[in-house]
Amino acid sequence: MMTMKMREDIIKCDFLIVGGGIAGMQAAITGSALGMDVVVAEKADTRRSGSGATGNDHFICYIPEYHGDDFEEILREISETLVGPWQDKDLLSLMMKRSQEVIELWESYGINMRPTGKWNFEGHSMPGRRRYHLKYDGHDQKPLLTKQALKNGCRILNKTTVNELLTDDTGRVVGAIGVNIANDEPELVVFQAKAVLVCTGHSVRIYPGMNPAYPFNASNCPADTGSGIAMGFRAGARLVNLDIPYVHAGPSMFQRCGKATWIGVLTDYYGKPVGPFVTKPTRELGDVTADIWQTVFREKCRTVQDQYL
Amino acid sequence: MPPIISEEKCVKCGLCAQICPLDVIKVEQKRIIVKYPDECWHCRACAIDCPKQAITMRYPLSHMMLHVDVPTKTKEE
Repeated sequence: MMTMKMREDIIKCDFLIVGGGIAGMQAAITGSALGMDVVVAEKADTRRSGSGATGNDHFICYIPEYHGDDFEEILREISETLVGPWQDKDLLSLMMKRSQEVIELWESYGINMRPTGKWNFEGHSMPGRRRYHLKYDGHDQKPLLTKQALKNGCRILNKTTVNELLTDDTGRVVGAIGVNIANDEPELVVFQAKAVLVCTGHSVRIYPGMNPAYPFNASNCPADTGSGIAMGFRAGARLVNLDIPYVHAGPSMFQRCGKATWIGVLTDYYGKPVGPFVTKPTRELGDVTADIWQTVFREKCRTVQDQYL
Repeated sequence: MPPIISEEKCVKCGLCAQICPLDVIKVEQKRIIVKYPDECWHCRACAIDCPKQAITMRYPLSHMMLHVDVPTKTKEE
């Protein structure tokens, strides 16, 4: 039978952040810079946790100096590529408006947003249109965000998974309960906070993947189990945007990674280009066909099957 | 597939076990092992961060089939 000890002191702070991924760490840095006493509870280690683990190399953004000032047109163009149709428009607009601010902050933390010396936008693009995916050197993004958070005085509790939010009689969230799994004997930890932010990322393991060769069922961190959303729901939060799925397109039986930013020409079974955009591989454009025609793989395979039947 | 930790090179600092995003590596009494091999995400954090380069990755067949070593020098070089 497993025993569990309990941490004697309650961890108190102004701002408890559940999940030390990129979003959680950025919130921690911003909160602490504003003078809050911040605690991050992360079930792995913020230096490598979450989907940001061993790095990112592109960031969809709006830089007025590069893209120009017609924000509505730019939003429209972004919505017409990749997962643009599957977006909360207000969130997309907010994200794009503030993306330059994020880039400047990341540069100040030592993340190299301009490894070639200038803004480098590539991939997921229609020929002749502006490009929105900034290519940057984010190989050490998590360690640098961690370093900045610690520099700002944040307390980071690694190996500490939060399982339940705590509410008072009025229903207001006042803290959380977690478990420190650093040692063989787990330790129950109680948090008390004026505000709690749940940043637990995607919900990846809701169902098993269909393809035996596709580990888990997504390319995002398989430890992102959606438990943060569930605990918010149990605490009385109103959940929004659950009708907007996280979509990808890719060839069946293969790991999806590589569809996103890839250099090539999407061709059918007979070797003919499927889309009108590129005839030769180009790093500047990629091939945006699969971004905007998300059922292309299914439809093209079906065509071949029909031929044989 | 689980990464391989070389017993000769490993100095048991425990960093791999600490930083693995899926917590699959465990520090046992005599050595450090991949305790939950099926949960490995192949993110390579352990191999990248190991101060002694003691960890090598292994990938499932599906990952290997399309793997191509990109040359680091151009034809002219």
